[in-house]
Amino acid sequence: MKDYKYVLRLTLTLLLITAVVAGLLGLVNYLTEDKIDALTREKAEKAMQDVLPAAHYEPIAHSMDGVTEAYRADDKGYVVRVNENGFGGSIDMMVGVGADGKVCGVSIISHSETASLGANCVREDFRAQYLGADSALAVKKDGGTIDALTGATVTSRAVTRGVNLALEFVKEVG
Amino acid sequence: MNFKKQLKEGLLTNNPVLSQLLGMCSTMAITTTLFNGLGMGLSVTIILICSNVVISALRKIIPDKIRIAAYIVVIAGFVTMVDLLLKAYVPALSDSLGVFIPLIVVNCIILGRAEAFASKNGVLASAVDGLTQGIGYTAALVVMCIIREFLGSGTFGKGVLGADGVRILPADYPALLVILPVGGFLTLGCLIALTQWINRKLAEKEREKEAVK
Amino acid sequence: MSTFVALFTISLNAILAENFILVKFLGICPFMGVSKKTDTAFGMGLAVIFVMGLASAATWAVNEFLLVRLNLEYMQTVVFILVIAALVQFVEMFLQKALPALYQALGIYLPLITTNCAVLGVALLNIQNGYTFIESVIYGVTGGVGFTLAIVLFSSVRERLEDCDCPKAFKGFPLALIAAGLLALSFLGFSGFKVFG
Repeated sequence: MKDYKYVLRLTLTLLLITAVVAGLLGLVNYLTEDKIDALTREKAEKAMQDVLPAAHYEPIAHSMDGVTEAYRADDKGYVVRVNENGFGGSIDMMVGVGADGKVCGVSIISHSETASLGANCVREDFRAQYLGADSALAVKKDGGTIDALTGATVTSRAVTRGVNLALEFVKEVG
Repeated sequence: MNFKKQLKEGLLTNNPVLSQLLGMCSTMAITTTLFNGLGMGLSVTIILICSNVVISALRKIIPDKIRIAAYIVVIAGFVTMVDLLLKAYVPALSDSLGVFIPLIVVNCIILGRAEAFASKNGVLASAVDGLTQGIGYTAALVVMCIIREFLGSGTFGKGVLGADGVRILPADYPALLVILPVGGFLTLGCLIALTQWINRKLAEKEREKEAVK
Repeated sequence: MSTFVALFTISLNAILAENFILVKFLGICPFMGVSKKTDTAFGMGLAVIFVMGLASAATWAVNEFLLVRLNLEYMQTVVFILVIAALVQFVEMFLQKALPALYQALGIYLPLITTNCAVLGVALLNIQNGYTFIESVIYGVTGGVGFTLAIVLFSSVRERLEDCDCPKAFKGFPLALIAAGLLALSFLGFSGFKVFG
């Protein structure tokens, strides 16, 4: 009988602690949810304006692996959001492809690459290498034209794959 | 209660990273820029103080058998709260630390202090312990960051003093190696050696003092 | 065929190019703690492979069928660590009853695994990388294999370090860290290593 009571006490204590923690978390989540959502949306919208400025973005259907969002930007071309696995996790980026089928902008929305190495993928001079491309690219190590970031071949390859994916997607749609 | 003594313990003689050798994953993984180091250090300090206080307050209620599980739940709760708050208010930090914020849960420093200190001492003493150990952890991270950033990128204060920090070495000279994982192991190894050396010197001095008396 | 290639790429990456310990810095505590002898290191490695595989499967299922459905993704960290802790406890009890010989070999390492950041890390990374169930399990198991490889290699280096002559301040832990650094340097050779396009 005593044993039974002890077990019950263990269970109840743990349950109580977990319930309190869960409740508090729910509260904090409730308080921060809107703010986080707004921030994420703002970031994505800014990236869209960066890669291909347009007054109106019309969402279009997509079913390709890795493509998370796709929009028709007025009649100027397409904006494709892609996810690629980098070195430290997934790299979320926005790629703009003009009506002529050429890349007109690449913007990294979020990533978790190593600071000072892979994190350099957000730098202008790295992203600028993709502009104007209309067919699949590769980093120099793999026989292509893209200068990989120093010490971050994995990241550079991931970004390149992302751009290629966006190009492929646009070719299929357009 | 002796704040000065506890502070000295946290910073040097019983530094969580350099002497107790806890929480090394994050110490090596994120110390590539000063911004990361400071952000991680402060987050851990806040979580450490909170979890120490709560665990110390609950120490008589929690049965011994399930204490580790209970501690982990409390710690995980605080970590998630900090994670959400950072995402909402300091998104830059949350982006650059990535998966290492949720991983604070298994940072042995926090569970270690809960088990070694908070479960045996009063609320106030535990809060002070959390603060001093947190300061010690932050100090170790910051020193690692300064060394690695200087040798690896040739800058100081990246992210804190402007996006690219203050350039000290010309861009062509830094040894990239120091920022790579290898550099983490090597820098921490040397730092721990230095700490052992200082601690030994301090202990010798104490002994000399005793001898004179 | 393409799934096989994808799985193979994940495995090879998890073992070599993105080794959990030497490249991703996850699981350093047990790596330094139980690497003094090759036998114990190997035992720890096996236990980690086992738990990482199981944990990947369990956390993936919990996330997919519970957290995502209920819109509770923000509870991931709390739920995952609880699942892992419970899993480790369960595995311990199961082994004790069913396979006492294996329990004898792994027993003492099991409780340590709860706080191994490689296990929680693999659970979180699976979700972050958007892996499917099979990919998650493969990533978990091969991540564990990478852990074992690193810890066994390192322990044999460390056995030799014991007798070496070095500055007093470096004796013990600091020297081990520097040796680990050199090991990480050799694993650096695998990064950028390309598997099937």
